[in-house]
Amino acid sequence: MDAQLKKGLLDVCVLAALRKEESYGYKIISDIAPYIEISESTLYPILKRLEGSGAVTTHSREYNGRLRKYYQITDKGLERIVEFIEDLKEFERIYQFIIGGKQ
Amino acid sequence: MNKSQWMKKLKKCLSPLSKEEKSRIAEYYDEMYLDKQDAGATESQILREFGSPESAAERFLQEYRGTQPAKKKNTVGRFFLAAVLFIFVGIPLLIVFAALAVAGAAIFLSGFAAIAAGIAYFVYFVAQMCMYGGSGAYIAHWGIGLAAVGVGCILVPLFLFLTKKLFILCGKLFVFTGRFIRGKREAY
Repeated sequence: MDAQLKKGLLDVCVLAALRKEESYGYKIISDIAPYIEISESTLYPILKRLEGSGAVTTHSREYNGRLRKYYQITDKGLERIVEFIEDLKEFERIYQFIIGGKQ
Repeated sequence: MNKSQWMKKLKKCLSPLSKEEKSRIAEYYDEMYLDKQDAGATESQILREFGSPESAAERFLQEYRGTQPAKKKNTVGRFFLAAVLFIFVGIPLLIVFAALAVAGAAIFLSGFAAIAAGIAYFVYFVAQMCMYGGSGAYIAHWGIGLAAVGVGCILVPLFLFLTKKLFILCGKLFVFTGRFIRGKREAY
């Protein structure tokens, strides 16, 4: 997949993984991995970017005698998912156009 | 490679990043490692999934410099600046420091010389008195010899301290220059 396209998709996939409830690094990767290729070193910059843009907030909580960083989606993050779904609808029309060209 | 070796290598590769960012990345990997371990993965499995520390670090560095390759020009410029600084400032400074170090060593040795001279003086006048018979003047000369030994004993530790400080200062200057040339400062 095109690197630029994948980058945009991954951001939204991470947000989608946080939509239901807050989550942590390992769980986010496990949730997304069946759909799109993601590694530890790819996730970290995404989370940092999302936190920087105010789409997620973080807090550390104790788990099993150690600290784990949890990520929580904000209203801004939810908005980004909605915007992306709008974009997808546009993609859908473009997709139909590209497919239609084959006929 | 075990986990601590992997982490050490990663941190080394991340050296252009700030200390805070490096420790945040280390915490992230620590957490990820323990979560994978809790899920039943072995050390070698986890490290295989993490990939090589070099390629992981490259991804982080890429992110911070905005996917552009490292600016070669910058490091070349730095090298020239360092070379010019070294020739026009570094070498004269090194000469000054070397001279100071020699002076330090000389002062340090002079303490011992005072002790040795004091002892020699004392022994010489003891011998004189044995040959020519006792007199008040000889006793006075003993006193001068003993005083020189005493002064030497007081000065040696002081000189030792000063010389040590001087050497440490020279060493620090060398380390600082080396760091500057390698460009190991917190650039981000």
